[in-house]
Amino acid sequence: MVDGGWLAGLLAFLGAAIGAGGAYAAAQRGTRQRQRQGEHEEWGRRFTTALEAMASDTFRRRALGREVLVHVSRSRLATAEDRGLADAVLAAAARLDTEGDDLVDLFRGVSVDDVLVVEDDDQEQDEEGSR
Amino acid sequence: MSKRVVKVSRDQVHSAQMLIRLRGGEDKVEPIIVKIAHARRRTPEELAALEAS
Repeated sequence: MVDGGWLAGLLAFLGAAIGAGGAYAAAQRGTRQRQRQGEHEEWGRRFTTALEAMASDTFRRRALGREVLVHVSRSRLATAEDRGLADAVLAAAARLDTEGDDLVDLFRGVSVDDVLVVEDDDQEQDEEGSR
Repeated sequence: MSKRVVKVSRDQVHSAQMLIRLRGGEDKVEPIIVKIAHARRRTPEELAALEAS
């Protein structure tokens, strides 16, 4: 008759080892998940700060907000939806003039060679005058 | 033939530049956005000359 004592001991050892390995892997997964979550929360704070800065009263802060928005949107933490939002915000800010007209719609079908776009400093003077 | 002059704000110019950077190149945006990104200030004399040309 075969003595199954050593086999039972081996199986118990293997069972314990597999269990411990599984617990370790689960703990590692949990740590990585918490780390990713923390990184994404920090990313979200930066994204929100950038959007808030874009509504600032000063050009300098608005420009810095746009720079940060582009930077965080190109991060590996940004989702396609996040990048889409940043794209939509910047596109609207570029396209809409002070009257709210969409320049892309306005010049659809018109050759851009027939359009001269100049920077208007009247708005900036108004802004600085109101400080 | 005279050109149609469009005035844009400094915010529009910077937003267009940032949009181009986000999308990865001028070929990824509408041509008018590229024009906005390259808009610069002109003196009244320059403007008059360009409008007349």
